[in-house]
Amino acid sequence: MRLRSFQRGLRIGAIAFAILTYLILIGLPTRLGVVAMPVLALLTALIFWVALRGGKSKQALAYRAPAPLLLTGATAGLVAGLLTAALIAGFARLLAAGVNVQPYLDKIVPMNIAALYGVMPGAVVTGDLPAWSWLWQAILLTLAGIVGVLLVLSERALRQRTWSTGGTLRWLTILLPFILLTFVIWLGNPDVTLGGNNRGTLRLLAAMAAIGSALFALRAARPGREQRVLALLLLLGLAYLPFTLDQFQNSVMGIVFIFVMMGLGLNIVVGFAGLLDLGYVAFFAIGAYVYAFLSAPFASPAFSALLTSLGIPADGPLISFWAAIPITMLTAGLGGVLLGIPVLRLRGDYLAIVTLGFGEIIRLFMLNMSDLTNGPRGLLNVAPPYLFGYSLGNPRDIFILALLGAGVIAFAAYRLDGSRLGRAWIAMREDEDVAQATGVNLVQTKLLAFAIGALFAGLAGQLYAARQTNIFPDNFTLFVSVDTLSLVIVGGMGSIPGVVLGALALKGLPEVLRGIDEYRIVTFAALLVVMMIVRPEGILPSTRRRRELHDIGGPASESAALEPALPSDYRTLDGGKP
Amino acid sequence: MRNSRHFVLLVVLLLGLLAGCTAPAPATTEQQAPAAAPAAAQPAAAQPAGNQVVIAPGQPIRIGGSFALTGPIPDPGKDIRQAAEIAIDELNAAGGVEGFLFELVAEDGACSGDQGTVVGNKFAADPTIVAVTGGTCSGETIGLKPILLKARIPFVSPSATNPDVVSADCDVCNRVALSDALQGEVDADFVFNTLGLKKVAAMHDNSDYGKGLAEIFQNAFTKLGGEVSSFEGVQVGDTDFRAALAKIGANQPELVYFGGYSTEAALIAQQMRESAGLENAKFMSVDGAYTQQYLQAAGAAAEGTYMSFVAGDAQAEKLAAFTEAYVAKFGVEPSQLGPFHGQSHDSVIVIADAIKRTAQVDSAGNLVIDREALIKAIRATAGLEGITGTLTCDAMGECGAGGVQIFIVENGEFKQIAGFGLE
Amino acid sequence: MTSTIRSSTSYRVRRQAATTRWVVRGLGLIGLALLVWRVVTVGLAESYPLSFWISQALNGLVLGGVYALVALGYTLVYGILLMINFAHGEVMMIGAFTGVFALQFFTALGWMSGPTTMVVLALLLIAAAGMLGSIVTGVTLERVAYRPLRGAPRLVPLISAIGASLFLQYSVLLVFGVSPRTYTRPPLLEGGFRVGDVFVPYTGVIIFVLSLLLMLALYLIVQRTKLGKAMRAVAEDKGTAALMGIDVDRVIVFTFILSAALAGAAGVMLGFHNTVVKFNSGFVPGLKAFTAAVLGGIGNIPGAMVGALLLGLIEAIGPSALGIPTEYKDIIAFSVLVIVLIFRPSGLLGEVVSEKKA
Repeated sequence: MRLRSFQRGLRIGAIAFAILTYLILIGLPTRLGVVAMPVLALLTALIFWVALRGGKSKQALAYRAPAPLLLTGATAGLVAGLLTAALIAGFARLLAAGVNVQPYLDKIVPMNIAALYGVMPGAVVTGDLPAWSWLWQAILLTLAGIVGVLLVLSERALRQRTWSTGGTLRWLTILLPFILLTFVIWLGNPDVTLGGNNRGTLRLLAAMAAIGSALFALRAARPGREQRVLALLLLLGLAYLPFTLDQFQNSVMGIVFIFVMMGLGLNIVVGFAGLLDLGYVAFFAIGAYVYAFLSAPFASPAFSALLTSLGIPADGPLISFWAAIPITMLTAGLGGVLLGIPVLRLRGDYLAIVTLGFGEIIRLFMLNMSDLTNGPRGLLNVAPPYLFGYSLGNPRDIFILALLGAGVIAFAAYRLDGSRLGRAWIAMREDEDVAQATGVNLVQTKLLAFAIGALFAGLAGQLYAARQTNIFPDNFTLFVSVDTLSLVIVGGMGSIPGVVLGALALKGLPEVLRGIDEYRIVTFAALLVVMMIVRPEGILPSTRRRRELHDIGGPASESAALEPALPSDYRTLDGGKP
Repeated sequence: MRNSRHFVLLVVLLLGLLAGCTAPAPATTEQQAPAAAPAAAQPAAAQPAGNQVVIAPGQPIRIGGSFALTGPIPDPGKDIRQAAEIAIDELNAAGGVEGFLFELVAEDGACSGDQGTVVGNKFAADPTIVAVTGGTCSGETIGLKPILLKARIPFVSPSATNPDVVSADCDVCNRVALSDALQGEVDADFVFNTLGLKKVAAMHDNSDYGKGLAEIFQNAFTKLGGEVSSFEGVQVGDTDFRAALAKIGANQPELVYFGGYSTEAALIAQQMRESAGLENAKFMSVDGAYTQQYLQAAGAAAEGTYMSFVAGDAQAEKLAAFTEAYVAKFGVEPSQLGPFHGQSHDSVIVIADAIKRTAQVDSAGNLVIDREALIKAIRATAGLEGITGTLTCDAMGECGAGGVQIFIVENGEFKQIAGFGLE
Repeated sequence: MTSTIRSSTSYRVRRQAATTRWVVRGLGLIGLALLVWRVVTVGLAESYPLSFWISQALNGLVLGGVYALVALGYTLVYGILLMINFAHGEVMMIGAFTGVFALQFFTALGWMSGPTTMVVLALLLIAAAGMLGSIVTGVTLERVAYRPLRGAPRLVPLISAIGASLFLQYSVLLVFGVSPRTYTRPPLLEGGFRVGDVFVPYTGVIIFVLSLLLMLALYLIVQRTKLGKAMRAVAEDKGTAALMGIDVDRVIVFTFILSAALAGAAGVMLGFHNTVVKFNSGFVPGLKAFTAAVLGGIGNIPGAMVGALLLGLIEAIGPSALGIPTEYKDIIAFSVLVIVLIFRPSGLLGEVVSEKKA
């Protein structure tokens, strides 16, 4: 038993060391400054906590007796500490010897290493480091190991007590959006100095959290009058948001809700009908470009020449934003049908690559057909929407329009979900052959899924073009499709509130994370992977999907709903049973 | 219910984290804001309060920066950001403005119009941002343009060369980079008249920058009476251009002209040597490829290739001092990363110089910068000594100094053989 | 939709489906005819010399050889786990990075300028280093990002893979910096030989021959060894394979090792061929190789090879044959993919896996 604990400690220590090495290599200490080592130790303590508790279930926690746990934790900490100290000392030696490490490892500069020792960069260059400094790192990380153990033990103590907070928690969940909304409004007061230079970002995060928590609140409310009243109040709050947020926050919210529109459309194709579409950006692009042609015909050489030859003046918008809506949507829908026809017989991953190709083809056409699309230099001066001569081009109005658009699409999707067509989609998603045998017209059903999904993306594209007022082929890369698909899945496939939450998380959070600019993408990517491991059904899964996973999870219990269909060998860091 | 508990926890944690990490509030306020500094402290407020930035003592003068830190060309973006930081350091070492120091607020414009819009809105929403340096790419800058125009925040772009970046109706738009139009024409003239070549091929990387240059070159070259035998595009990120080169080679051009950045330029220079019909053709590329990276990546194939670059008078000492500071701070030669560090430095000093001429200290010791006056002051920049030459802004906002220089690679180094500054 | 629930209409629905199939095939035929017509009237009319076509075909074969090695990685993993390893291109990129560091190391030791045997030995060691780098990445990826997701709905591992792909790309950017790394070719690999008017670079020949050899080795491993047999069994049915005493986890790890090793070799070879490696230089080849794997029938090993060589050829010859700019090469590649899939919905050789469901 003791040997086992020791071995486990060695392994956890090695894993922690690998993560620490990564953090040092990407230059985190340089950012942190003198507190680098304590902060890293704190992070390591959290890693130890996760690693030591093993699995997520109560059983895994209950297994661990305090003494072996302490042995494991201390060993892990000591191992990580000694290895890290050796690594840093090695780098410091190299730098002191005047070796330029940077051409090989970009972030290993004196500043980085000095931060880990808590000294000035000059000391590293001259090799003037305290002799016993390795002890400092080893002790800190061993402490981290012990803190990790304490965290596990205290968590267990907390868990073993029975909590009867159901009612309070429910009310807290319902109240949270209102508390956050009040916070947002209070932060908007110019006298408030909370958050300093980052006040705007803090407020953005709070506003996003308010919308997100509103979705949870709706779910927590009892169906019936309670839910209806709450929905009404929350809608009022949401409607007030654009008027209290500032330009930056509104512009981020605008893009978030444009992606909600996209996500809702893709949700129909992927979530309802089960057709994996990786080229969804194509319809977004079609919507944007069609609106750009209609509102700024002068930007496109070929199109303006055509109009002029027909005797139509091409120096201003042809039709208004509102009149353009049916045209862009229908064009995009037609695109959906055109894509749908050749892929009718394809399944699963074949479909994925063909749709991906379709998306790329549309982008490459926009890039290369310079006469029509002005190539990489894009179409400039697209008109914003106008209402009674008043321009709706500012971020606030675009946010409102995106909210309205998302609302309309959400309603349509909700109705479709319960309709006969919706049930046909589900039947098709579950098994095409059986669906066909029971009389579902696969051709019609599939084409309708593509077409309706495309209609919504076209609308989103039009709004996007009106928001940007300049569009370039680079705005329509594969990554837009990938982002949209990710937000649908992160939110919970087939779930309409899930899409909103997914868009907030995937398009909104990166803007909040702007402060850590160069670490933005790795953070996002790591979160994506962790999210899939911890909660593969999405943050807010649809009831149907939750029930499906519930059934797979075995006997109905509260924890089974939380732990989706994961195999029993799920233990990320720990590996074996104790 | 479980879900919501986690969520509540997460929200509380995140909010706490953000609030905890943030800096103490600056006392910087905008006079237009309803609850701004007490009116008593502002005697100048007699006139209808202009659009001013008021900076309390001890607070920095904040200059926004939109840089392409991610996206297709992170290397030049990083170079431009670091050069801007060096420029800020220089200005602060020289005492700033009336004792007020500068601060660079760097944001990632990601070289896309999309992110440019978000960054623009972020700056516009922040009343403490005085001016903006950036964006790196033309698309990004065109995204910034309408928003900053509305917010009355002037910007100076170091590297957006697309002719559309500045326009007659935009008084806040300025740039230090020279418009592509100039470079493409000088290049065509050099190839046709100096080298005496009549049949060339043009290639580009399908970016607004590269394709724009290649088109301008093509038009100018055809106008001079030459023949452009092929016009082909490649994609950034591709590494095998042999198929395109074989197609170009079938027409036997005497020179290949490439509009784009250094990685693709180096690959083309190298793969040309292995393509039928191009073994003896010459290669020429543009300022985006004028880097050490090009020389390293192309190796022996770089020998004898031509490169055009936009630069000013010989500002050798200034450049040397700048490079020294840059290497000391970032541990890498600026030319390793990208070509636009000089322009980036200069766009910051154009802004700083205009601020120096506009800013006033009021009776309470605050630094007051009038936005409209600053916009005019940038346009009035004249005879400012920068790294790229003597900077003078014209009525359109073109502040770039110098002209086009042509280099040839000899023994692994660029050697100027024609163009501006060579008599 | 009005009559779909009445079972008497089921026959009509089926007939409708059959009609649609023929309509779609008709459209495919028209597309094909248009392509052929374009080739005959425009491409061939442009009168390129024969040597031009040969050298383009050689370019295509080299490209196809590299795609094949990467495509095999997609196909192997797909065959066993039914998941698209979206990060496979990045696995190749990391192999190329490891290779370039090994190259720098041997250059510093002076091996690269030594006698020929020394250089060849160094080159082999560099390739081994690249493969090792890829293997470590691939196995870690499997352990951290994919294994916990086994049994989850199919899209979940795909999203995880997309996350992993981004994470690897930008981690490399952060750790090694933005500057591209250069493969300095030893004089041995520099240049090429000439057959008539056709120039054949040495690196091209080596890549093509080596990829054929590696493919052959893979084929033998899968068909002739015990582990290969286990792999095939797991691909057929995981549960039954486990009942037969096969350690499924070990087989999956072995699959990742194989696919990563091939990708690493491809990365190093591509490095020597094109000389530059960057943090994002795995993405485009990865996408192309994935296309190739689907073209040949994903999950099918000979299919991946055929698909990749075909895709390479199409990319190289297509634009010239159709008489359009090379920018459109990806459009041509994807159009061919669509046309092939119209006639063979599970790829050129891919009957085996297509009916299987996750």
